[in-house]
Parts: sequence; C-alpha cells; structure tokens
Amino acid sequence: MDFAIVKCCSADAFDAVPQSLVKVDIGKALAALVAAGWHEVADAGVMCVVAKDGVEATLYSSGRVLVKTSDAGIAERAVARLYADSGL
Amino acid sequence: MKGVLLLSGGIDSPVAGTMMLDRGFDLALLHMDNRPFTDDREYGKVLGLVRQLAKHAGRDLEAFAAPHGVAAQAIVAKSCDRRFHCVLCRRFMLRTAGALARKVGAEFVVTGESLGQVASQTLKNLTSEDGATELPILRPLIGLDKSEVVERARKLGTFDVSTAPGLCCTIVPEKPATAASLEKILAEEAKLDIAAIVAAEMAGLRELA
Repeated sequence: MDFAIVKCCSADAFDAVPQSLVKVDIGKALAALVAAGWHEVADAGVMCVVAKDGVEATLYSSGRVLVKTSDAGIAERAVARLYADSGL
Repeated sequence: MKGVLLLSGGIDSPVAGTMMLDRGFDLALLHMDNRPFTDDREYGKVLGLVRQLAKHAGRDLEAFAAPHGVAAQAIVAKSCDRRFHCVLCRRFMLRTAGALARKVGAEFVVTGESLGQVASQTLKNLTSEDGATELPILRPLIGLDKSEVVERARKLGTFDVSTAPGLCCTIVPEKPATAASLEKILAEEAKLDIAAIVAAEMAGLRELA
C-alpha cells in the first residue's frame, strides 16, 4: 500500500497515512498481524497497538499508523511491513 | 489537610499542585500512566515533574502511577461511544484518585483543569465529571488563561520539563463531545464494570521514586 509518512513535531514518532481511502477492520487486521508474528500490546477496538522487533506501532481504523521511533528508516519499514502483514 | 493531585506530563497540573502546596496543603501525586497510548518519554517527564514538585515543597512527596492505559482506556474505547471517551476517561481518573485518597488519608482531589481549555474541559463536561468521586474536586486553575498558566510554569521551573518531547494521548476520539450530559455518560458507564476497572488500576498502583 502506498502511504505518506511525516515526523510528529513534538515526539519521537512518525505518522503514516494511506494514499487511498481505506476502512480497516481492526479485529481482522490484529488477528492477521499476530499470525504474522507481531505482538499484541493493546486492542482498543477502534485501534490496536502492536510491536515487532522492538518497534511499537498503533493502527487506526482509518488506516493511519503511528510508529514510536525517532528513526525515519525504521518507521518507514515498519509501516510497510505492518500494512503488508495486516492484509491491507 | 492532604489532597491527591492528578499529575500529567503537561503544563497545567504541576502548576495546580504548586498553588496548593503554597497554600500549605500536603499532596500525594498520582500519575495515570497512559502507556501504550503515549510513550516512555511522556512518562519520563512525569518523573521529572515529581522531582520539581518535591523541590518546591522542600520535602519528598508521596507519588504513585496507576496503569490507566492498560486497565481503563482500551476497555472504554472498545465498549463506549467514542464521542464521550475523554469524559469517561477523566471520571476513571477521578475514581482512582478517590481510591488512592482513602489509602493515603487524603480528603480532596486536585486537577489542572481550566475552563474551556480543551474539549473535556467545557463547563458541561466538567459538570459531568463531578460526582465520579465523593471527594471534593479542587481546580485551582479554573479561571486562568493558558498564557497565565504558562507564565506560572516558567517561574516555577516546570515549563521546560512539561514541554519536552513526548507523545500526546493517541486514543483521543476525532470528534470529542463538548457537552456530554451526565445522563449520557451514565448510560455509557452502564456498559462497563466500573469497580473492576478501578480495582485493576489500584492493583497496578506503584510508587514513583
């Protein structure tokens, strides 16, 4: 999935949004992520927090992804992997 | 007299706390740890603010953190109308502050809320928060503008800590209600096991060094 990614201005985090309009079923996406080896940190229904290889990411039902890292390369790779692993 | 101060990593609550300390009240500090819906740096800011408040008081202050993100936030988001999330969240903070007050012998709760500053702090929403705890809720900043609070924070030396990088709450709804009636809030809370959530927050309570 194509996405745009920007650094959050006041935090060590990056915000990614899909280039096309998507509606994510968080339950299904979370199940797919866990099956792909992501660790479930929290399931809030409208969003979920997952982690893999020391990087924590939040997936929203709008398709937005928030990645907690200060490294742009790590963030970009994590988002691409998360989208692929969640079936988006 | 002693109160429980709800202490975030932001600008307002440390200022509210110092105002109460300056009036001669004792405080126990309670941080509602919002991780994983915030980050470790935000939590680190709170530790810095605890030290600043102790320095201002000239003595150590009791300080605690409760696992709010894990114990309450995810359940509220999953179970309730998203528009009311912020008010429901605040009511759980107040309930847990009340439970801590009973544990440490405090008689009131102090918050850094000021009228109209954010969506959860409209008059209607603040009114709907009241009653979550049987204890009085004191809001020393209620009539101050943000610029006045910032000025006080700068003088106190808490501003730089509060404005250091940190991730703001990531679970806030896109369109929070600004006029949540108590009736609607109670209807949403009927979907939750309130006692179990507060018990989980208290069970996970830990002292901050």
